[in-house]
Amino acid sequence: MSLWADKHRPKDLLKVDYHKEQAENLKKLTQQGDFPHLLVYGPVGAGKKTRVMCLLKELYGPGVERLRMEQMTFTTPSNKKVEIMTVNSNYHIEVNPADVGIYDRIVIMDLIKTVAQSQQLDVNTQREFKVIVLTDVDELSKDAQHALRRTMEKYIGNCRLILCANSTSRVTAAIRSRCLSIRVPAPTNEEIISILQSTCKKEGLNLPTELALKIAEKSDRNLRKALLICEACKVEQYPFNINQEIPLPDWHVFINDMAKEIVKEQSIQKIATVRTNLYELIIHGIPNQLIFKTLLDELLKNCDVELKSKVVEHAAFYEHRMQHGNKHIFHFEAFIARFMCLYKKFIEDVTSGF
Amino acid sequence: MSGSKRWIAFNFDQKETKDAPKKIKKPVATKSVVAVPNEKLKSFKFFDKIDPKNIEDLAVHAKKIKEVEEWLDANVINPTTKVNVPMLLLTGPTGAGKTTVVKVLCQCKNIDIQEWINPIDKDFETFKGPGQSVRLQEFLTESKFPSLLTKASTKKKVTLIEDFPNTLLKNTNEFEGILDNCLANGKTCLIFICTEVHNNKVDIAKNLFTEEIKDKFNICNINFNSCSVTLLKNALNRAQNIVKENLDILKLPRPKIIEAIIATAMGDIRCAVNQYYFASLKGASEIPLELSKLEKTGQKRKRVDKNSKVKSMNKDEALGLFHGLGKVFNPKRDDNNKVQCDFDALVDEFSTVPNIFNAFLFENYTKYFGDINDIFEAADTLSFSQTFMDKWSERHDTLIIPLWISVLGLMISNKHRVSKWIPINGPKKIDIKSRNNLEMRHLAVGDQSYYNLITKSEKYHKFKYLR
Amino acid sequence: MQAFLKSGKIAGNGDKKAGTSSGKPPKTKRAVPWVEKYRPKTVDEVVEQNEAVSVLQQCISGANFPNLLFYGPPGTGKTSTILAAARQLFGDIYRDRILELNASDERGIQIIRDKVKTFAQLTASGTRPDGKPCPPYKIIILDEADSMTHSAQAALRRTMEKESKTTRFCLICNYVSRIIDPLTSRCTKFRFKPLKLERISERLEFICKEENVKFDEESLKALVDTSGGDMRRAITCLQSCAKLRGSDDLIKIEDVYEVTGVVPSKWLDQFVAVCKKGDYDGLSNFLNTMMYEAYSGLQMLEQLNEIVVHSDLFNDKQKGFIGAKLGLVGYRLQDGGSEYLQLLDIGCTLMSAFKLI
Repeated sequence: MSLWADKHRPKDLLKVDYHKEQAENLKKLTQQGDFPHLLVYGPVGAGKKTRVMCLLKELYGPGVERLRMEQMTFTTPSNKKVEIMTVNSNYHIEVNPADVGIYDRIVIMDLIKTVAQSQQLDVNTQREFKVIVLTDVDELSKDAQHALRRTMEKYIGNCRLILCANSTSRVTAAIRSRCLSIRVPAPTNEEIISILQSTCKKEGLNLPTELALKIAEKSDRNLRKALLICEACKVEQYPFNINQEIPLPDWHVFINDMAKEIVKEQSIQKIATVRTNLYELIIHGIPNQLIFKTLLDELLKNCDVELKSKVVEHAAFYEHRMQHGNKHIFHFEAFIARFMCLYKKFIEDVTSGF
Repeated sequence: MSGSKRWIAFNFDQKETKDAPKKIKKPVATKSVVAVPNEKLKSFKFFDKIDPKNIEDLAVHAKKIKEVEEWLDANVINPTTKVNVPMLLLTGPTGAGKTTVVKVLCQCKNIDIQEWINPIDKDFETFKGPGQSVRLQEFLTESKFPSLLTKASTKKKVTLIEDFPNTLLKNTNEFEGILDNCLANGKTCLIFICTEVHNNKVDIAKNLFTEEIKDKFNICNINFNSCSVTLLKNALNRAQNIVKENLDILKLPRPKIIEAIIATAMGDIRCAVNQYYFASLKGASEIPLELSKLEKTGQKRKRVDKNSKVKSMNKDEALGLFHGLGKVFNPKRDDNNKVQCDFDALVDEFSTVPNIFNAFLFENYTKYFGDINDIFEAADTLSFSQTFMDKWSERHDTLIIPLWISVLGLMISNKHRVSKWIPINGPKKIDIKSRNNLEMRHLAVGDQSYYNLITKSEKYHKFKYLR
Repeated sequence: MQAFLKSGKIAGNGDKKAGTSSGKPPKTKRAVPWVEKYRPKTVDEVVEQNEAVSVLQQCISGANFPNLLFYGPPGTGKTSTILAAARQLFGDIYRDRILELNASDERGIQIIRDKVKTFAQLTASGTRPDGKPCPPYKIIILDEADSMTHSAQAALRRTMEKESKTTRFCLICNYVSRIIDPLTSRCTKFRFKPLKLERISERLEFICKEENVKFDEESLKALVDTSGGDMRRAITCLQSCAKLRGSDDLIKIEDVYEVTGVVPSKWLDQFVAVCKKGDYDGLSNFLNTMMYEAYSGLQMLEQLNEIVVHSDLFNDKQKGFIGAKLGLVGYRLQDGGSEYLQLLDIGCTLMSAFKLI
């Protein structure tokens, strides 16, 4: 079964629901002789991938939609085998090199080399280059980005890169300057509402505007999430009710519970339980930045302005540390212990003031 | 005679000295049998003697011996079954006596043993990889022919395989192929010996000898347990007797030391015998020191037993680890509440990789702390040192510095110490599940719960909050 | 994947031949980046940088060619200058006479030893194939030399001396302080100053005319302003704008912002305003919105820095307070910190700065 978010994904550049002008520009780009490397960036669920796929279709025709999933194996200099899943068609290949952690450099070098050294089947009917789509480039290590920059220059003759990132802050300037940057801002709430309603219409459903607004507000301007919530709402209850409950994702509820516990009691035992719960989140692959942000937002709800700025300061500090290495739990725990101390003192001060 | 005369007379003439060494050597060589303290000769004898010669000497449970014996009787001595190539698989922890049992039994029953040893003598470049397994194949199928070196081929024969080419682990189908071939071409029976390891990836018994393979080739599996304390005692008693016969070069270790040895050996007979021999050596000055350590670790052992997780580590490593952890978590303080400890010696004592030690510290420190403010300081220190651990992960020489930070930080910040005994936990392993599904590749992890809701399934994980 | 790769390889062989022989169908005219296309062809064309230019002109007219060290901010014409000089010195065979290595090439000590040495040991004759005289040496250009390891630099020192008969080195870097002293003392140093904005503007107008790009005054000015004296950046941005827009349309100021990634100033004003109010929830909402618009946090910080430094909203004490945090946050952001949290931190700092008097 396919989700609404996949089913109603626009397949043509001119049929996207928002950023129409940009889409037109992209279309023009494909018609020009020289197609540059692209850096497509924007928040999650803003439609980066959708645009990239449309662009590829524009370049190569419907053949790019025949996707396969395959595993590629790379060998590191120390003879360790690294496996990575790729999605590819006859014309392009899509990889998320961040999947292999510290070995991302090898994947990038080898992959681009292999692809670039093989050329297009028939030079006359197709474009003379293949496309490599790299997702989450902002999570690449510095080493890998360096390698990327080099390979980009070297193989520009027969392959083009389309890089997807959530933000450009962590993409080195060298890469940015070699790509044409395409910013894909998240859709506005109004855009989301209209898309939700048109999608529902296609499904033969009637979505009241009030509910659509509620969903849009809960979606963090993430279109994919909005569509998923909407579909989930439909499964829960149809016909729609304006007062219908909007489901939160379970990990979000989970973090909220955790925050409540932290605020309720500051003790050593609590730190131990929080740790177990954090492990649960980490093991299931919830990105640590997401955990951090959600937890912080939730914790700050209980603080006054002064405490807030203090907590934020420490949060920024530990969050930065967390970006090094892979033992995130150490820094989470340090932050939580710090918060507990600050909060405990804050409560003591407040109660002693009376 | 004239030669000896010349030797007695001091003669510093250069011409003469050329011949002199020859003449000196001779008398020394003949004398040596009597005069030189023959420690070396006897020390070799010790291991020869301690090696079990008959079934009674084996430090293995009688039942197990009988099982193996019966199998040998049924398959080698008087083949009752029609199986072309009978196969036996022996599994068990290190030092359980698997190989020795086979060797002793075969000796008693007058059976020849042929053993496969991975060829490593050849140039590595040319003989790594498939080469080894191909040669194993050849070895197995050709072993039915008598070797040129054995005179009579009338003797019964078994083939022993304890060494498995590494490539087989990566390619288990290949192993099945080899066995198939053996079944078709081989004649002698095969005995495989696998040591139990706790790392799943290299566990030969689990990876190569799957249930299917065992069924297919009708492999009989006998599992050895680690040596029990009584058996270890018996074996050491036997060693004691050998020592008593050679008191001129060896000394009898104190009973307390023997106890410690048995405790530390954890059922590994080979380890126990080695330790014992070491303890009984005369003269070496560092032995008492070594022994006192042994005694201590012997007592510590009881703690180790209570935790199953850590058993998977190397024994000595685990002991050093526990000792170290205990010292870090329960630092001694003097009257002025200053931490009293020789940090240098302490850090040296951890026989673990700094990364792992730090992970252990993190996993367990909270339980030893009595105040939340202390915890915060400790957590901050750990987070700090971990940053460097990660940054310098490739520079082993400097990794000790972040470890220092962790250790000192934990000791100093632990101002309200909880002193009770608490079980130690191993660090949590984090295996992030990746999604390898074409249909779902657009679904972020955070959105999976909606998928669950929409499809009313529980395809993706549901979080359970632990209180 | 297999099909994807295999199919290509078969054609790959055939195509390679086509590529090397000049008879390749002209359909695939290779796009040359404008930065390459509009590099100065002769030393005289180099904008500003009088010192270096005059020295090089003398070299071309026959004086001895020293080892060179060019340093200065990016996009000021360091590489262009030496390439132009080489072209003038060697004419058509200049490709064979120079070895260009930049930081993205692997440039450990081993490469220095092997590649540079082998190249340096090739002899160079004093005449061109067409019989004209040319200097009997080769030039090795080490771009971005400041990112070479110290040991590699040390290895270079010997090679430089030993091969001085046949080879000249030209080191190019942004920061001269990162080059070890023994190397700098062996080279003639030239500092390249940031280009004057008018010069960039002139060049851009020239390129626009050549490439038939329609540009209005305002957006050209914005482009020049954002370049900060970096010619390469300005030209690259211009090309990107032209590509994005297609050749027929007029390029607008929004396009310039889009391509350069500059955050429009209204966002910054709003950010400062929210902080001034001391409204945490407002700040958090604002930052979320900004993240949804996908503006770069790093760029935001840079622009914020400009504002704080030049603004009269803050007194010196406050500026110092904010500046310290700006530095810290900027570092963390570049080092991989999350944009939202780091910007939140700087926001909170601004809030407390407003309370300081």
